[in-house]
Amino acid sequence: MAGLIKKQRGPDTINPAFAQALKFALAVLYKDGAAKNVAKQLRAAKNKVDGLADAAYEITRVVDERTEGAVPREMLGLLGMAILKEVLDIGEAAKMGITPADAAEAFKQMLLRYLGENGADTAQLQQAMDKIDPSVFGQGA
Amino acid sequence: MTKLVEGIGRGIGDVVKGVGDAISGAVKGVGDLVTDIAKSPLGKALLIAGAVYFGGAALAGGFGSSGAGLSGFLSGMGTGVSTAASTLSSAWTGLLEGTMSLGQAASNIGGVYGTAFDAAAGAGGGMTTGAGALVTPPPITGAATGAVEGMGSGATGLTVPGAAPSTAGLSGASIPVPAYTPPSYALGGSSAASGGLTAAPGALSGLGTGAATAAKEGLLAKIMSSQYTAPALISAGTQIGGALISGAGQKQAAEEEREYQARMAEEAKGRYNTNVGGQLQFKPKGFVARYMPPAG
Repeated sequence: MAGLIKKQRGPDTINPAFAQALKFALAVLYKDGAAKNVAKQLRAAKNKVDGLADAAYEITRVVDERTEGAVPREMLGLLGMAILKEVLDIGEAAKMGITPADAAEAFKQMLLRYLGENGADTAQLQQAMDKIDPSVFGQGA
Repeated sequence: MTKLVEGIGRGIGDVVKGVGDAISGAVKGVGDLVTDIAKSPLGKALLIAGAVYFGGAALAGGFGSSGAGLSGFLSGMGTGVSTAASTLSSAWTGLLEGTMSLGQAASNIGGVYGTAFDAAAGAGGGMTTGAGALVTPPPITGAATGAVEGMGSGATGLTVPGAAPSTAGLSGASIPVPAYTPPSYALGGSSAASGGLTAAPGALSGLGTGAATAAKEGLLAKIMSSQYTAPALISAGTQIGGALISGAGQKQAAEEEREYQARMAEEAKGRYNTNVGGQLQFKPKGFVARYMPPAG
């Protein structure tokens, strides 16, 4: 997480609303101490992946609401990914033994949940996703 | 506070280090963000998941720019990262706006799977455990998925009688197939037949190490020689062939029925004329002629 947004290398510019939302999320997590609550929530979750996905999804949803939906819809996925990355870092700090496959599965759950809540029938997509060997996600580690 | 929570707190304390820098800085680019996400193994997994689930071209571009396979793509993070991010966003947008169907996204999963694998194989050992380690059993899974699902929808894309209206489910590189010559009747779906045997992107790009060379050596032959993809293609071909044969059979039966009815009508008409003629030429004689009232 450290250094997540402090460096400036790319020539592309990011959406201001997105940047603001991410900044808000980081502030809530670390300045306001929500990270500890997230860690507790992760610890209490019956399923590690479900806990990660739920925490990240809820934070993303709250951030989106607090920023009054200013984040472009097409960037919500990226925002969710960035926030999930923070949640993963918290989980790692809490010694939860999170694997890359867990991370990928959590992101998949977030995606499917979002699409499902927006009225999409995700059965076909989920079926295709489930066919992918989770070990592939650890290859880049 | 329990020891467990205290431990978590200390762990979080480690995480929090540097947060001030993080939130006081400014996010300047998507590429920067994605690059930073990719700094940890879990972040890399996230990026791979995003790329696998959403877009293939981005990952392939990342491979291409790094020229060192998956690890090079993720550590180098040149233009490929921005491309990955933009593709991720565009794919996400497509999903949200409905320009990309979930089925298409599902198909893309197989596509990107194979594309990534192709690129990894082309990178020449960029992956630490070899190209085959990307997935188990590698991209063949994606390929089979793409082939089966794509071909399945292709089979329903035939417009011959007995098949559903054509869909664009099978766009992509064409696989030469034995031409099916329909009988004398016009078959609107004859072109759809070749379209039906046009492989889904996932089916072709997901062929793994053999995909690149397969294109040169004869893709269909390569595909058919694979124990993974051949059954899918055969199955798809069977479906398509079955649809064609079924359609042709129905059409032929209808033609025969029409011909039979026309022949029956002709015969009936002939019999009628014969009977009528017989009546007109009938001239009663004898007893009948004496008691039969005159015609007209």
